[in-house]
Amino acid sequence: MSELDDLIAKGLIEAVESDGPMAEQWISDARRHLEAAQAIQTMDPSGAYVLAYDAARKALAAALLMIGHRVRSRPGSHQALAQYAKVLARETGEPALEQFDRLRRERNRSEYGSRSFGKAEVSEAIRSAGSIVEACARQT
Amino acid sequence: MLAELFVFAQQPLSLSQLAQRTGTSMGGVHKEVERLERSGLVISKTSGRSRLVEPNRSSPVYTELRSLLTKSMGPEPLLREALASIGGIHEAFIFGSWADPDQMAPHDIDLMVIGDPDPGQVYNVVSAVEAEVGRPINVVLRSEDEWAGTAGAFERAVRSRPRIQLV
Repeated sequence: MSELDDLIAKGLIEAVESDGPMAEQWISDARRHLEAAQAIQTMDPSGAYVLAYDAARKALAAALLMIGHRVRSRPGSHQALAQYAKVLARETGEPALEQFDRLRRERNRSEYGSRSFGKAEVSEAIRSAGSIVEACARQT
Repeated sequence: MLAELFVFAQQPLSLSQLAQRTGTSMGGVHKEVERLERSGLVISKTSGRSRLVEPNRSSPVYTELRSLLTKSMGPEPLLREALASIGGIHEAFIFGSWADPDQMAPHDIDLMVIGDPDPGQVYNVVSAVEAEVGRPINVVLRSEDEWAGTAGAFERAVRSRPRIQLV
């Protein structure tokens, strides 16, 4: 059983019809989020972080949609995407994808008031999310 | 085995979990647990068919022993060594529950790094330590100016709570 099959067996990911145009749309949305994140990072660091994270999340969803899958909409769906990011990192040899789980965790912690973001963290998050988006774009 | 029980365990461990985590035979674990229990350092209780072992928190040496084991075998020495290889770090410390001696080993570790190191490098060395200690490490990065100049709710909480200084 492949690692992706394992995520499907656990009910985290489900099969849907592959949709290239939609995947491309999500990739271009993700690129626009990154540009916006860059533009607002000084004014609103945590907003920029959330946007960068969302860009990476959409790009991963696009890569998954290309192969005819999506994460199931239920609690833990972002975590399921993080597991898929690790699978995809190994399959494609794109180490940038390994960074997704860190972005997810830190974004979660900021949502619950457990942290705030410094400038260097935000620009690094935008850079990492950018690498994730481009790695996913190469899959679509 | 003491480090597994006193530093890393988030709940009581069965003998087979201890054997697995320490790479010791069940016979060896059994003998060691007997000895530690006789000396009052650990306690155990039976749950179903398992015997669950945990530190004896009312032992007079519990606090000192846990602190000694954490300093020598926990994430502290690993992080100190990992961060020493990176330039630009003015200060680094563990904060949050992990730094609080009154709390049981929490699920994750909060690390503050102050200075202007390359963030990618910090995340890389920290993720190697994460793999070694088997729990997530949350890194918070601040420049010296940001740390000195900001006083939001998060920063105030970090400043007022216990910390373990690394750099």
